[in-house]
Amino acid sequence: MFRSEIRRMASALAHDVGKYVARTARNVSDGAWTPELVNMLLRDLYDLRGERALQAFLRLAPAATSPLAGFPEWTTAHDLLLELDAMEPELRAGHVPTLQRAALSALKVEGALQDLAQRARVSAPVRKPRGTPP
Amino acid sequence: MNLPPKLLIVDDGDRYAEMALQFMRGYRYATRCTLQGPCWTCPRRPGCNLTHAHDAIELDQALAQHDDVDVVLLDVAFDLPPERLLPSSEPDQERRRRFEGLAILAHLRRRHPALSVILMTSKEDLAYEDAATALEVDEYVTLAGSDAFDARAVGLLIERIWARRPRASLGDSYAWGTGIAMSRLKRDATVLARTSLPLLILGETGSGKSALAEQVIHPASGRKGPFLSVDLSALPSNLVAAELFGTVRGAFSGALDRPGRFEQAHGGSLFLDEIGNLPVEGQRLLLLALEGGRITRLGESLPRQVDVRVLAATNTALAIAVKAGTFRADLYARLNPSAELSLPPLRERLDDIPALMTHFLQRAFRTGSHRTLLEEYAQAHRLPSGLPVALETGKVPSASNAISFAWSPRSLAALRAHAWPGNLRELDHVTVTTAVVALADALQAIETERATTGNPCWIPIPARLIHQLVKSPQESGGLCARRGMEWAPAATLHDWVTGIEHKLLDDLFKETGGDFQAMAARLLTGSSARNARRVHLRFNQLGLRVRADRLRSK
Repeated sequence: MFRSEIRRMASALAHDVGKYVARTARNVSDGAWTPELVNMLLRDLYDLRGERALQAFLRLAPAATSPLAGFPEWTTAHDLLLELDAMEPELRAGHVPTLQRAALSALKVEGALQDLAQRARVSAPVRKPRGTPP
Repeated sequence: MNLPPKLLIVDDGDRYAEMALQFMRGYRYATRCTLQGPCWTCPRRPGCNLTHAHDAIELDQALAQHDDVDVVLLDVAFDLPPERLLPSSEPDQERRRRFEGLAILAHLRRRHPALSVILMTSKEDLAYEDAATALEVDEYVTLAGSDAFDARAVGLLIERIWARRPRASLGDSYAWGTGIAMSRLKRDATVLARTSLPLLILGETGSGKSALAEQVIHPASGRKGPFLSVDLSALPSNLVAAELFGTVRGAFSGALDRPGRFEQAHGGSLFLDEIGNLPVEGQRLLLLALEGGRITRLGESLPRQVDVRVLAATNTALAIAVKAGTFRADLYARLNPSAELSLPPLRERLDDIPALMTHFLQRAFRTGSHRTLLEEYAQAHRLPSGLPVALETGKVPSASNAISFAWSPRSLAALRAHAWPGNLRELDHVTVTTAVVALADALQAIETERATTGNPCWIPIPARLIHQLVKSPQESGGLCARRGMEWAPAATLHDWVTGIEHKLLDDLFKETGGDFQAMAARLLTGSSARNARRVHLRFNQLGLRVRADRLRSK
């Protein structure tokens, strides 16, 4: 796979998942969780353009086939998204400590995906196209 | 009142609108809704999709509804069906959707070149190096970066754009019109204004060079000093140096200690009009001043440091003058010709005529004697005081929140067909003259109880008046000749018409022995004292004065 394709995949991941998942988490302050904000956070995590954040993540960088899956940042983001997925009942119940924890995790997902995009830019492996002499 | 910036959000989803409505309530928002007030107080907000624009078509709708948008917050990826995306030669639909924001940005640039845009993404997210590089040089695009969803970070970007804005918006008093060429010029002018290099403005006589320098470039430059203007074509060659650089006592007989225009403009801008007419010796001295920022008064040996931004204008092709040897090549190079601003003649921006006429009308009737006449008219019709004026191009308006001067389609066609050798100045004079004449006629109709349009807020401009004013001087000269008047051509039609009026009133004044009542009886129907007052007012407006001999005879 070309480096440019890997870069593009990592950028798409940072943009389509990292950026949107942390939208509410970035702006909320001092645990002021109004029902509107809870609703916004729930949509960031579980209704990201019609799919859950974890689903979008795995669609863009599947564990089995994506060259990004080997990077530690991918693993960090994946684990955090799994945790966030499991928090859904408590978040829907408006449990404030869980909301705080979820906001923190969402920010960490964003950070990890930005780091992944950065890493892809500087160190993505270059696979030569078929037929190219060694 | 200092209003906060007005934002327009363009996003296929509702994420940015939600963020703005939740965390950025200190701003005004352009929506596609016709209701007043902020969205967050609106009971219809839940589920409402009028809070922002979702694609390019809705963006155009919103901008048509709000001409005062300050900043557009534009998303990049638009997950929309192909028919809602802008036309593109890109075969990959996914790529089209992902970069639709850039296509919308290009669309915006064509229609609103100077509108500030915050692209809600970062260069890293985009991974399209060519486009990102192009964006970096776009003066009016700011990338929100990785903080695109951080309301405080976006707020700071808006504030930064807003801080630049007041200087640029000072150009609002200038007659820009609505054409694309002028929009580009506005953008270039406000950008180039911020540099400290000399600036060359090209354009035909009357195309608005001086106003561009004074009303747009100087205010946008941020310079605290004054704006001074010198018409170099009006200066005798032997006085150029004294006028520009000043003199010291004894430099020549009668010379006094006097600062020149460069010193007077210290810290500000010096507008040198008709620089193509500067004599050769003056060109040498100006070159020295531009090179070192130092000038030497006549009769003085030590130079003085000055901080002056030189704005030069000409209606002649300086490059040709350089080739012909009448203008110094080194001075031409110093005037920064690579960044020159070229004002198109009016005949090349005919679509701007209605907008320009509106501008001239509003300016003319804001204060002064024209405003007095308008107030007199409003009072006669029991209309509220302080009504603005507007331009109508056909039907009788239903609203009465302005006094409209109505030009028929035929009159507008005549204006479009005219060659406009005097450019904006000529259009200004034609517009205001016809409006004043029509207003005076309408006032007279009230007194004589003549039939009117029925709507006092609608004053039709007689087509024959337009046709008389925009006739060629030769044709009009024939008319004058038939009336036994000899008339020389003038620089503009307005000058020519004013000259006729001047001569006619002067002759009448002599014939009637200075009796304005008698003059009014000859000029206007009816014989009220108000007519005499009106003639006297016009007499004064034309700079004619009641002679001392008449006063003595009285």
